[in-house]
Amino acid sequence: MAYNILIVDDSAVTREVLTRTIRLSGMPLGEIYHAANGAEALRVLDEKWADIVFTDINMPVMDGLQFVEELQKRDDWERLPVVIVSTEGSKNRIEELQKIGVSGYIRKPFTPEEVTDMIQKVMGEKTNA
Amino acid sequence: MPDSLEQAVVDSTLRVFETAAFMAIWLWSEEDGELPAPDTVAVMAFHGPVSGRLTLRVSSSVLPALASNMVGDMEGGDSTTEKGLDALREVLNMICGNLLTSWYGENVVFELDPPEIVPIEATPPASSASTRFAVEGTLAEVDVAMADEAVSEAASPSSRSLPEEH
Repeated sequence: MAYNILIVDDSAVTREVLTRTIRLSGMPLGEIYHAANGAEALRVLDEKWADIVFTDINMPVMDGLQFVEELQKRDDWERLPVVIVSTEGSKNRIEELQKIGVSGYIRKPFTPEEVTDMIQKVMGEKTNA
Repeated sequence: MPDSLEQAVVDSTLRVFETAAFMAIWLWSEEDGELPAPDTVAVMAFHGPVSGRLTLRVSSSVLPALASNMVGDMEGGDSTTEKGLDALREVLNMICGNLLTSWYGENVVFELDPPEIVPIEATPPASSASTRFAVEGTLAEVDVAMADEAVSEAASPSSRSLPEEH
């Protein structure tokens, strides 16, 4: 099965870095979509199917937390695995994110292994659900 | 755990440049001599139990390599000015997040404003913790300015605590 990925970050460089890292992970990949903020990501999801989302927190227009909360409101997106990729790594913030249904957290700067391990973890859990 | 705010700045800056940008960077010393001064500035503010501003100054000559290294473009291809500035903003973003967690611990939540590129002539004045680095044969500088300098002076290993809430 090939996975479609949605990457949400206001930094084009970060989106490219994540794209490259995911492509090097060896995971079976379909399409990789990009969005610069949460609102744009919702528009992408209206038209495209994604199996997993990687999103930053601090973004203009709609930040990562608002984006995840919007996903939770939709039946067809409620179970979509979301991984936060952010510079901020406080335990309180991670716990807050887990409470709203985030599947994982990767802190920047990240290694390719961290991204690969997270995809395997999240998609493995989704397969077993 | 770093012994000082300056050490936290050094550790975070080295980690980000080396891990994210694959660039050799070290603390500048007189042995490095006079290096080309920075001409590009990125600034971001942070808010939380303490608030402040982090400034990163670099030479524009490092931006193409910075962007190419981060996205893995080994041939140094399409590294436009905008991509280089985007890379700089992201580097500052990562330094800030790592610095705050390193210095204040993992139990403190900070809100980070988006990094911005500002004109060199509008650069905020140097603060109590200004650190110089050598990278790609040029000079880079990182400044941390606390909104309340008294809070930063109290942030020593023996008394590093946050203001009590009343």
